[in-house]
Amino acid sequence: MKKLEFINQLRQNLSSLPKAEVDDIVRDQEEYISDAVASGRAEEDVIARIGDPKSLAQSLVAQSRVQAAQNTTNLIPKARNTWAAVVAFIALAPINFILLFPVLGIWAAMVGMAFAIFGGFIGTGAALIHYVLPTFASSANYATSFARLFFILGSFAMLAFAAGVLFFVARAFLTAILAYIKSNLNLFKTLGDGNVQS
Amino acid sequence: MNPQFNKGVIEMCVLALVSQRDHYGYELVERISQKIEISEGTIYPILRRLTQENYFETYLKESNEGPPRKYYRLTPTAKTMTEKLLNEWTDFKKNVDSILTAKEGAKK
Repeated sequence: MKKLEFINQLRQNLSSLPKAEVDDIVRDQEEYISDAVASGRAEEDVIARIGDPKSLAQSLVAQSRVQAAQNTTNLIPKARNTWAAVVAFIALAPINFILLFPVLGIWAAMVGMAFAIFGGFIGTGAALIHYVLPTFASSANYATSFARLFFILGSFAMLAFAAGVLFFVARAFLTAILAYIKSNLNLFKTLGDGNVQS
Repeated sequence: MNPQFNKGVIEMCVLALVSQRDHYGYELVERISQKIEISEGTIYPILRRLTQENYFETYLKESNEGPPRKYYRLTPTAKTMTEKLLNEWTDFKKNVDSILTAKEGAKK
């Protein structure tokens, strides 16, 4: 493979990263190849020894996404980068596909719980407005009305508690996935990159 | 080289070389592959990760051979951590060696 083709394939497989990062990686690879050629080696040989541009790109993407996800405490970008890291990690080696089952399973359960909590808030809010508040105006039985009001407030508190717990569980879950991918990326880098068996 | 030895060791070699003086990419690969059989694609992701994790800072310097070279330099925090890591490795290596070469009577 010639340099131009190597760089093109690299760029193509890095396209999910920010442009500045892609340019930086391409710059580094051009520097590397140029240094190797200057030391008297053939361009094709150097490129063959670097290995498949696609797998180099995939491991850089996975690594960069893990890093981005670990650098933010904000749940939404953390989840988005973790997902991108999972996708790149699976692209890297098909066997990593097994990671998808626990990830999707647990994630679906958490999304389900989030919806349940959201629904709970709406239902409780509706009950408060349509059922409990009017009784204060229309009836003289304040004892029952207050009992209902406190029941509703208690429900809100429980829902808020559940939402808080879910938030921390989700964050711990993302942290665990990231740690797993990271340790396996390190392993993969040193074991798997040796695709060139020459 | 037995791949089981590899994990973490290459990274430590990179840190050790950069702690001696600033290096650029090709130089690092050359120096390591003189002693240890590695694929040339192995080092770059390590350099990138260590830079993202603030172990390294980089700067560009003109070269006579082609495009400017990116040099890797240890950050002050990383310097302390690397010294600690290398000391731990020296102790570990000494202990492993003493187990490997221990002579306990005749061989059964």
